[in-house]
Amino acid sequence: MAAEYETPVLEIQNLSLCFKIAGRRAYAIQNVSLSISRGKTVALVGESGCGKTMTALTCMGLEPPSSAVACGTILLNGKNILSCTEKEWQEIRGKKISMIFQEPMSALNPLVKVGQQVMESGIVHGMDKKMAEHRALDLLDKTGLPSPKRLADCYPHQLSGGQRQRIMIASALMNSPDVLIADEPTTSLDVTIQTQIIDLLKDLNRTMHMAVLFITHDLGIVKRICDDIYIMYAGRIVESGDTGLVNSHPEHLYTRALIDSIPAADKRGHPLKAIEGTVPMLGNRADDGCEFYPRCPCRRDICTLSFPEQYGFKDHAVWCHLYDDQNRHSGEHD
Amino acid sequence: MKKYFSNPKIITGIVLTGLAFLLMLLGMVYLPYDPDAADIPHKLQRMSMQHLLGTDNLGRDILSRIMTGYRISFLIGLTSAAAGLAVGCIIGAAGGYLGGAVDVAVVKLIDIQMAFPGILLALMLIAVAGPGLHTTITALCIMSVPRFARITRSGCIKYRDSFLVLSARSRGASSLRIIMRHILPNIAQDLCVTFSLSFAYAVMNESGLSYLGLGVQPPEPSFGRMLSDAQNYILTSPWFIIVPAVALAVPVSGLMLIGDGMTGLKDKD
Amino acid sequence: MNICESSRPLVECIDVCGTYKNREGSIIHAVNSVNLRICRTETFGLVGESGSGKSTLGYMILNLKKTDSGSILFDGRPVTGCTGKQEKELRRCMQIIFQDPYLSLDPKMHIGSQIQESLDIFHPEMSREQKKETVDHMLNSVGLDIRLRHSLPSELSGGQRQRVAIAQALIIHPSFVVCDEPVSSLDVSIQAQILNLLQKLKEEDGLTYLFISHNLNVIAYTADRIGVMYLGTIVETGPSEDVSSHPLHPYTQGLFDLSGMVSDKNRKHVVIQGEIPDPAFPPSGCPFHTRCPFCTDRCINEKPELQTAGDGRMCACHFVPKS
Repeated sequence: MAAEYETPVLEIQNLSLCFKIAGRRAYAIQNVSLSISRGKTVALVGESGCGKTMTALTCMGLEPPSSAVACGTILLNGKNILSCTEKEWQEIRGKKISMIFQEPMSALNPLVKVGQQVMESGIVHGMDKKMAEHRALDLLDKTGLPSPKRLADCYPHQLSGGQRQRIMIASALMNSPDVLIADEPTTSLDVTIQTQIIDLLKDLNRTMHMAVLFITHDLGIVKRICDDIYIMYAGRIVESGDTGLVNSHPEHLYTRALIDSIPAADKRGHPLKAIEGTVPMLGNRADDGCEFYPRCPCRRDICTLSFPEQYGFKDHAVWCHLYDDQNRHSGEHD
Repeated sequence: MKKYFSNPKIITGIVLTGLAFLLMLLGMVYLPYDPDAADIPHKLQRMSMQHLLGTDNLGRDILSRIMTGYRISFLIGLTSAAAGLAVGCIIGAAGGYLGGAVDVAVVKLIDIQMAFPGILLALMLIAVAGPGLHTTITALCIMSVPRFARITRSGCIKYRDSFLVLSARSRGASSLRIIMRHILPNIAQDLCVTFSLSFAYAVMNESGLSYLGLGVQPPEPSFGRMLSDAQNYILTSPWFIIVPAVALAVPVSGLMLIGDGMTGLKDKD
Repeated sequence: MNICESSRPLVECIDVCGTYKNREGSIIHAVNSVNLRICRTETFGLVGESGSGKSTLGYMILNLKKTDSGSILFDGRPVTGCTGKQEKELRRCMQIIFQDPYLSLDPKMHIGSQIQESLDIFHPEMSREQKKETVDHMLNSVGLDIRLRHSLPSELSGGQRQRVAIAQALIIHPSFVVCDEPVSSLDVSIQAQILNLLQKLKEEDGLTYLFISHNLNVIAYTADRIGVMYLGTIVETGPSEDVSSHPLHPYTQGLFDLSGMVSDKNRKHVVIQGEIPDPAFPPSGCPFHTRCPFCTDRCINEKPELQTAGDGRMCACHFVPKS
């Protein structure tokens, strides 16, 4: 199936973020590449410490802190934004790229009415007050909030978790950004509300024709909303591709182990196939080789020497030495 | 531990306090002169090789008086701060952990006590019991209790409903065990800061009382007394007032720097 | 009721009610006339969202929170109103594992001392060496290196801390353990490790678990019997396989549909609309009526009772046939 070629709105190419810990170089993320087109939702999946949030923050210019060095490129509509100055970033943040976080309560000012806070995103980027008010109410309605005018007059603590997250979404969309980054937006919400928020994001993605980067550790949510998926482990992408394909035929052993370790009714009575060990912390990572080596059931010596090449195409790619032979035989690289 | 000893404020504070402390210790084994020995012919002498810090209006060696004076200051400062810590923690823990009527009573007690200017309270006590070492210590202890009580109380309130305490309760821990082994260690840093500052305040307040003639009585040397005696000679023999003032300021600012440094570290955490 | 026929239930809740005051001072009925039985050596899974009262019920069973009315029996002995020595005896038999080990472990105490504390309280007659040996044995059982006994909680990962919490709870060999969302704050791969560990320890010691979670997948996997709570009321109970494959209550159906566990193809997909009502202002009649796609007038006015609805199953809905 030939995918329509569309210029991606957001394209991250070989992004690396390097810290200095106890004199050594430590890569928080290494050679991360991903792309998102308009109207699509891409999932960045991984457990804690894998670097997915750092990747998102780098796209917003909120990383690196002074102790880290970033290299690679981040193309937004073709322009490299990694080299922007702080002033240029302020033009981009909230206008071209917006972000929503896991805990809406900590992002909202408890002393200001929510309507005011949503309007502010517009006013800060040059919208006049009347227009901002009109757009804010429109967005509050679009995000499924009942009686937007009344709700706009409320303070954050008077709203439920789901309502607060909808306010955050409205706030993020005030300036019709090209890219929306959602960092675990439903993790702290109840199951029934999670689904509502996910469906809302799916809807808005379509109608507002923007690109959505959805960061999560929950593979279940990914199936529901995301077109493409990128699996991260210890700072690197290890598998990527169409969500359906990756879920039904996971190729990287980490992805397989992750799917296997999810509890389900039909696994009752048998121990779960848990992956022993833990993700290596930032200071304990090797510079070369595959970080999954100590936990991998199919490890080989070559895994400690070099990080694997990409095997496969855009629809489904994996980085694992198990596929080296296939790579060599077919001689195809994307 | 390392972070405490690499903080400049704390190090400076330790050096200053340590200096005074060492002088005090030295004074317990060797004094250049008898601090009470009057030597009128040599009164109000400047610093010299015979009298390193000069002599006072009765010819007594100022250095020896300072070294002995430190003894009183440290004794009073330490005991009143320690007593304040003990009493304050008990009251604060009772109110904070038990809540209800006990807490209401504790809060009222603290508020009433804090509403009184400290020195006034001390004066009232002295008026009743007469001046002297024990009265001074009691008065200063009472003055420091509210600070400790407040910290302990707020710590207990903070932790009382926490998962930490719930977990300890679920494993059969008694209230006393919870307070002693779980809550107090977690507020120890705050208590140490307060202890350091209380120590400093106690030393200063003791000098204040002795200045008024209401603290320790002569012939026990006290900084306050020395300052009071030196008032009349400010213009003629300025070192007589400057030297004890500086000597008093050294441990007081040292202790305050330690407290300040620890607060700064806690905020960074 | 035909559950726990052969023996007396280990834990029994009879018309248990629990309230607390929220920030504004209104009374929240966190637990509303709950009737529950937990049998020996079973894992009873209690599932619900925020405001369901599931954690509050767990704390009440352990006497960590006062029961406002009703009674709770542990092995026939009353739990409610227990104090002093009697309470301590109960604590020996009932323990709890909390959700967030970052919060339930003492940040200033070494791991070894924290695990040993239960021995200090219940076995003061043990010598220092005996206690040390017991703690080391426990560390091994939960898969931790014994050298970690000198570490502080901040030096451990989330999974390791949860293992410490498990060791703390099990070192005195209780018979009943409340697991309050024990894996919710952990990464997926660590979740699996901890679930396996809990199952292993249960089998070794013959434990009974009350497993509380909002994650349906975890409950469906772990529990022998499931209870579903909504706004302080139990709306459905039954054996795990039956409830997962054929949920009866619309709320249960909606929850299972959301988690992708739909086995009954004939049943219409249930979509739960709206927000969870404010527990301070619960709806009249059936608490779920404001979000139920099948709501009728009767649901608004009359609260359904929890009634038998099949083999070992109970349901609180006007439209589920009694049996």
